[in-house]
Amino acid sequence: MSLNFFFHSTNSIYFLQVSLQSAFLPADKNGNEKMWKYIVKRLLLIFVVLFGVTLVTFSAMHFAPGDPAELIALARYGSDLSSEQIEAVRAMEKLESSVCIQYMKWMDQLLHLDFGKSLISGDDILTEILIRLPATIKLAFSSLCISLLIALPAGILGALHKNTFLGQACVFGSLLGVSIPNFWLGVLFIWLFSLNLGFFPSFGYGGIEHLALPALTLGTSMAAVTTRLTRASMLEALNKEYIITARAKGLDERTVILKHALKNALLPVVTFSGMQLGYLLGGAVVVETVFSWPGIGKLLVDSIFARDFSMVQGCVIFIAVLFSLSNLAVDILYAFLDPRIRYEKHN
Amino acid sequence: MKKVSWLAKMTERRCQEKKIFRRAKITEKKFNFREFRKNKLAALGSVLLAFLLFFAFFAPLLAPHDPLEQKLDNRLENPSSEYPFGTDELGRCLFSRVLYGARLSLGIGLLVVAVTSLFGTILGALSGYKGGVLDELIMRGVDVVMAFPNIIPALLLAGLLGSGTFNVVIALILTQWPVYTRLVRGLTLSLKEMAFVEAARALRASDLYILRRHILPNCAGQVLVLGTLDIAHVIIFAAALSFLGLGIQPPTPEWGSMLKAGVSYLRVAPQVSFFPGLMIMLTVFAFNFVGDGLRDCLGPEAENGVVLQ
Repeated sequence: MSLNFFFHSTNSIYFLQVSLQSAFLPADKNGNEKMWKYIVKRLLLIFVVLFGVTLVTFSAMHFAPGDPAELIALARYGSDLSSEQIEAVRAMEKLESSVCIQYMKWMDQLLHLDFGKSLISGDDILTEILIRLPATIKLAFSSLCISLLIALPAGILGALHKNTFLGQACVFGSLLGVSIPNFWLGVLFIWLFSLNLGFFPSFGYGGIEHLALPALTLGTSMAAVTTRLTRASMLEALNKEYIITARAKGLDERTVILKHALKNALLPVVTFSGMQLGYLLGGAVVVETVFSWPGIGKLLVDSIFARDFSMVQGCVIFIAVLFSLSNLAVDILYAFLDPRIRYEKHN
Repeated sequence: MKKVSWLAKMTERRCQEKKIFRRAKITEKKFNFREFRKNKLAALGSVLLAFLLFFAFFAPLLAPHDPLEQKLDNRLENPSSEYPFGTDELGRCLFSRVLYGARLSLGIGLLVVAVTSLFGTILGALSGYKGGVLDELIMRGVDVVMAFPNIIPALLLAGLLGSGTFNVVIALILTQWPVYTRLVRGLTLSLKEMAFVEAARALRASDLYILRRHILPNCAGQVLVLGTLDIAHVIIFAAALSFLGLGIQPPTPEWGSMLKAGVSYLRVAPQVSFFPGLMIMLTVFAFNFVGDGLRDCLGPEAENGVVLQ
């Protein structure tokens, strides 16, 4: 049961327990050995899944309505086509061989890390993706920072002042945040910060002023979920017996909360942030489009509009690989971070 | 039945740790509608939802103008008594368009969730109950769809199929089912180990009977909660696809594409983008509140996660 189960639902905490159970798997008497078995098993599974991904992507491209050669020719030469042009493309792209053989050839290329060439510009796809990668990474990390800066204090306050107005405001605010579509939030931010106040440019790529609005948009919408998670796990930690013990032995409240409760409560937050990062690396499509941020998501959308199918294929495969690997990393990280698993290892 | 999956093993281990009988947990999971009524946020959500459904249903009666009627003399007007939300770039009444948009968005959300929850649940129950090769096949299918983050699979399909309401619905159906399959499979795995299922099997009840009578009813609550929250999600996805230009195209009044059209006129007429976005937010908000309220009714165990202990 992989962690990305999560992102298909608005209220992610709901599924945290289900998703994180996968990380409990290695927890056994001889934990260390099990751990390696688990990692190997997950890696094998990822290969199976990625094979499925290539199959789905390839067949989606090939069974899409329309003749592929005609579509490619359309993308290359514009709307008035002669049948010779279509046949020329068919010969050039080796589309006359059977689908099976085409798939095998394509897989062979993929396994040699050759994503092929763009149908329109003729550029190497992997190079193009790698050129866009830094922008996506920059955006992902800065929005994650913003999200944590908002979510951690809000979640902790929400848990500590559970029954007061402040706590309720945190709950309400995070529910509101979950409900705001991030493209609308982006548009609102452009209107407020760029058009009215003139603080930041509304689009473009370059310095920190260009990064500000997209990162703020993504950061605030992610913070909503993280706040809920922080609050929930903080509440759970505060109910534990070791908190009573800590209080009973006369520690001041600050130490109890920051050292005893928060440290334990942070575990799911850390793993969740890891997951969010993986998700951002592959999929900030909408926000990247709103702000014309030249990342992978924008590349994907642009290629879909240009009907550059080989580029779309490449982007989708790249995103899926990135996402699967980062989820695996998070699963392993969780197993390593969980003190219960470490405890069992010592036995 | 000897081959117990790790999830069931996990569940069992944690139950033993907590010295809790699973049977008892299941009976606790019944809905408590009195609690639902007491939940203020859920009540707010329900009222909001009722309003939205009312607006969507009676849009033709409530709309002051034809949503497609263009009056180029009245382009980008500010809200006034004749045009409550102002007009858009072609002089169409924004209020009427937003009302009609509610029909489309709610319709897509309900339709997609109805279909996906049905098929996802059936697949999940089969997968969990039968196990073996079928389980492997279904779960690898789930893994493949879920290997794409967020909106990417729907984006890919919508891009291939071309724009249009029908294609958006198809794209969302094909990409949203795995959530239900996973949830129901997990529940089925723990349910089928229970005493009452074993008792039914001892009475030589057929698999179909056990699934229908014992397993699916016990999953219904969780699926309902997930479905409610998922409608919110589907509505955002549909709007996002239209916003990107891959979904429903103008002149059909749809919130996502209206929002996109307004971006070009943000400086002179922010209302063109503001109101459609506000409506998306309110709708999603309403479904989230109701879903949250329903989940709280499932009992205290459901607060942080699916009840599997």
